Amino acid sequence: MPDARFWADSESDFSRALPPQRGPWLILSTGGADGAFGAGLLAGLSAAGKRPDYAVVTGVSTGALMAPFIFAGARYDAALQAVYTETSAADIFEVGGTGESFLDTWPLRELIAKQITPALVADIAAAHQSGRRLFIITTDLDAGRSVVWNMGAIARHGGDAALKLFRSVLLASGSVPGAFPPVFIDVEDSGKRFAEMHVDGGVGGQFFVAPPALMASTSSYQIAADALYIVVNSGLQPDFQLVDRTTPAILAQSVSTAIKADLRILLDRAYVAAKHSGIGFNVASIPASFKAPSRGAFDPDYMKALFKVGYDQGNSANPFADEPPPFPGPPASVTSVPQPGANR
Amino acid sequence: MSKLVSKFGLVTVIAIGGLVVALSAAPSQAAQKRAAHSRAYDGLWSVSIYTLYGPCAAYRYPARIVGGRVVQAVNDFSYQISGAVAASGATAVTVASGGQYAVGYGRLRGASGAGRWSAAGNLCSGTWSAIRRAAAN
Repeated sequence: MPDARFWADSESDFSRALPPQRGPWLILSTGGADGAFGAGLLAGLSAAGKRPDYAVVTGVSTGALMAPFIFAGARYDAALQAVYTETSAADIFEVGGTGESFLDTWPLRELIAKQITPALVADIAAAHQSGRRLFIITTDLDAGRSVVWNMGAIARHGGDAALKLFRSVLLASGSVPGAFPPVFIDVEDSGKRFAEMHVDGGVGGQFFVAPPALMASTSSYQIAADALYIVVNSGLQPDFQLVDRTTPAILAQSVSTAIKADLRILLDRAYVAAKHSGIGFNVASIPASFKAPSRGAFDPDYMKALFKVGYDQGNSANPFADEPPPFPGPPASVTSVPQPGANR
Repeated sequence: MSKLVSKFGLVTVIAIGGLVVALSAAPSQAAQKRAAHSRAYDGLWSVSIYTLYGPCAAYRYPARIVGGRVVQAVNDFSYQISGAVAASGATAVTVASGGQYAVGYGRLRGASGAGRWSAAGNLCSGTWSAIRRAAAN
């Protein structure tokens, strides 16, 4: 399938894949169930009449799962809302190890198959034909490199093989390694067929604007966009909680903390790149005031509340900030650093 | 990626806390004996849990029915599932973890089923639904 993908670190392939016309770019981050924020934000932007046809949409993990709906236009807002407010954990995974992960994602595979319809893929193909681009990022674990999938090109190929690949890429982009099993994608190289192991695109970064070398602070690259809109499906402030002395709990809090640090760095890079490209920088993230309780992963009540927060922000006078959120101070409950000596 | 991983911690927390899923109340010995003779529902099942009351997380769990008895479907030692299915489809299952347990009531019909569940101490309660994903070998 020609032009289906390229390495995320290939500057030439990235430049070649870009739209012929400049326009606003929408960047959708990782975030799991917190993708309800981004889904709500985009729906709010639609309601406010502030949502353009983005020239480029990129998505990683949950950002990948929402990206096709957003790319295809506001007529898919209702479907997007349903996915992020009516879905529960039972629709995403089944408890129980697979040998490759702690959980099995056959429910998510079925959900994707139900939601990513041939009609939606055809609309994405048409948008691609008009010059717009939809990029989804996965991680090729064998190669240890991120891959950018040109979803419009895949959609334009048409047929069952393209539909299957389209859905597999979305599943792979959201397959958190360890928690979810990897997704194997059949490829062919020099006449040889083999299966590549792909996992969550967030392994290579929480969102994607351009190849890392182009985004480096030493780069003179000019982003070929009118403006950059980054939707961070996460809060950026520390989330204090006493961590249980179990392996999963320790891993979970460690990864969550590392991801917030990664988001901060990526946002900072994107801001600098936007400034020296002379384009607008816009970012929206979950406000620190959002404190709804969650009864576990993909709690529909939590997701409904977060969708509303996003919607209200999208429908407000200022949906985006024009610079990265300030670094927070310590949580209000902690006024000084505890000193060694006390038992946990 | 982030939230799923972080929330995944709760899966284990919940499982270890014992606020796990149940298909039905623990059956009587007689019911289990009767159920052991029914193979109509044998196979691999997937049970979705919905919490209507309380702070418990709700997830989907696999279960295998063999000779009318409900047993573990996967080698996941964070929870233990046991119970039985009568020829009528009435089910009785207990799920235990970390010294705590949850129970429920319900009925299977053909390749699906539904019922109610509650955790020990009535901390949480809700409904469940089940589908058969594969018949017995």
